[in-house]
Amino acid sequence: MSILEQLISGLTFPNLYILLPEIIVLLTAFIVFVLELLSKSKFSITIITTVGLILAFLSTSIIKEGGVTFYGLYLVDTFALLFKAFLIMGTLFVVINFRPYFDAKKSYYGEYYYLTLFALLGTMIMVSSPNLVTFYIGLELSAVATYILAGMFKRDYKSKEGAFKYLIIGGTGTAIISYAIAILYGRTGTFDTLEIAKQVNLNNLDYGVIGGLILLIIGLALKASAVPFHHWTPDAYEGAPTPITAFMATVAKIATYAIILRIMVEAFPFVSKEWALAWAILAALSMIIGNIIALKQENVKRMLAYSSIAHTGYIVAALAAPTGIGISALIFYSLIYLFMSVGAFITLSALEKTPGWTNHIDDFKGLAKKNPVVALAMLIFMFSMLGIPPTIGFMGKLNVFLALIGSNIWWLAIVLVVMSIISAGYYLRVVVYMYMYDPVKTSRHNLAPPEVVTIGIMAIVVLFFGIYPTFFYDISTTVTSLLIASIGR
Amino acid sequence: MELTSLSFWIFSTLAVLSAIGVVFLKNIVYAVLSLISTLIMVSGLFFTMGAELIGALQIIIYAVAIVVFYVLVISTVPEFKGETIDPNYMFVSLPVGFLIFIELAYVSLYGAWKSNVGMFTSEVIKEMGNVKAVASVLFTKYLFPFEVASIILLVAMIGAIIIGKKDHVIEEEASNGSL
Repeated sequence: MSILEQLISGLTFPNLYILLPEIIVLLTAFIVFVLELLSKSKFSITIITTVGLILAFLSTSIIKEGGVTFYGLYLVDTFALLFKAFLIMGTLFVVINFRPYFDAKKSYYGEYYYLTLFALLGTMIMVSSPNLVTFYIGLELSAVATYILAGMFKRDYKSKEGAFKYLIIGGTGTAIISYAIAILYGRTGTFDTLEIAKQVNLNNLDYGVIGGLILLIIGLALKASAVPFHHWTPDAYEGAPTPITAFMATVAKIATYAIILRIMVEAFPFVSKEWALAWAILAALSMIIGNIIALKQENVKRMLAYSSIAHTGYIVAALAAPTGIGISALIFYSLIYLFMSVGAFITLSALEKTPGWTNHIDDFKGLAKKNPVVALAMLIFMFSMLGIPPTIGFMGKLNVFLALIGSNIWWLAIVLVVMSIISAGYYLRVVVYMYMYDPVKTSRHNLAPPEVVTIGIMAIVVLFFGIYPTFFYDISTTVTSLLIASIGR
Repeated sequence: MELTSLSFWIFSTLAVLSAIGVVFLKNIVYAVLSLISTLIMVSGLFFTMGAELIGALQIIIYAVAIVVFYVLVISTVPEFKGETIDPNYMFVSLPVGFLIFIELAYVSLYGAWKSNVGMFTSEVIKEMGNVKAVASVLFTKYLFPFEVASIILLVAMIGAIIIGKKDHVIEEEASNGSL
């Protein structure tokens, strides 16, 4: 019985202090869960969720020094804290827009609130996992909650269809990731990323490592909807309620980019050339196919879904250059992507409340004459996604471009530039329809206060940090240097 | 010793026969029934090899929960009942299944080889028993994923209730509208 005694003597109470944001999010979710059963008061549900998320956001800044707890299964470092703060902020800006949208669509459920919080909790567990088991369980939590959220639209066939596709393909992705973890465990005998890093280097690449790595990359690419594993994205994004699409396209996606970076850098630092090539190919395919298919879309929501596939391409392209500049470019782009994507999707959700609005490109005709402020905000988000200089999207693409050139990956840098130019075709089309046509319908667009706040803040952030990107540049560089320093830990 | 090898041969023969039945039987209900038979036989194999925990889990989770769920789906979805399945899928499923077989064989061979490295050697397991060995790791080191898994189950349950409830609401509204 000596081993049992050994295990018991190793038992410690977990350091709950560094788990503060997670605990607040979990408690908020349970409070909303009970409240939704008892009172059905829409106002208090919204307020409690908002307050809980604000508290969680503030608590990420209280934690001065991170640490490892739960016997090395949960790691809170600067990287995790930074991403957690942005994930909570993104969720906050999505959640406050639930009520106007769902009330207008007559599809209000209190469940949206706490399921979103559970999904957020899953993404938060994902970004701070130093272990493949923790990563897997966090991924599963966020994925299961998101499948349900995507299919909750009342009386809408497309929502069900999209959620079903998402469930099937997402389940396949989870299965592939678990196979990959099994193979890596078989090869290395550990789930811990740092232990894996010690055992995997260029001299002992065998079928176990290569097979596990390929399956892991396929599974992660499927979750990040990189081409050729993107087939669920357009349907799921188009079918889901628009604020939920905003959540899926930002919070879930950014957590996936973060965990791709963390696993690749922490678990496989000595075989970076191999995975860099794989991600380069996936990025090039995502940029080319995502942008070209987006050109043909008539539905703006579906177009934005393809644009998010293209953005997966731009972001993981930074992994093709596994250097400090590349990693920093990835962190920079995924953080700023939150602002433009939340902005664009929430603008859509605000417009979608208008009766008769179908998200078709024709609906945007003459929007600038009817509602100049919303049209201006949409113009800013479109310019930012396209990457036009005064917006922050330009800085994101510039960083990725510089990282690629710094590592002499010219072909991918050229693909990035050419595809950005092609993407002007569909982003500018929206702008042209808004500004150069006369309104077809005379229906008014009424914006609820939270929507005005969200769209306004996102537009200001996109413009202000586009002129002054030093803030994001500094934090991504700092986090990158800490992440690289942790490799030999 | 004689009894062990005899039961091994009986269980494995029946497992392979029923697995062939799963693949080649045209009627989907028969296929599911032979799937149950396969799973029970495989759990018998686990028992003969002394892996009583996996054997019991195999029966509880696969043979009872999952396959009963299959039967439930088949009996509630009218399109499935007694229908033959298009055999064209076999051209895809056989190679993929073979690949997964190779992958599983590889993982189990490597895993068996690697698992001797850890602190749970076969002597320790013999002394403690499988259940105790698994539990002592699951509830100490892997406590956090275990707890999060309970949240996943909660979320999945809520989701099933919401999606089930919604159809009811739609029907109610539709009937109200028609009246």
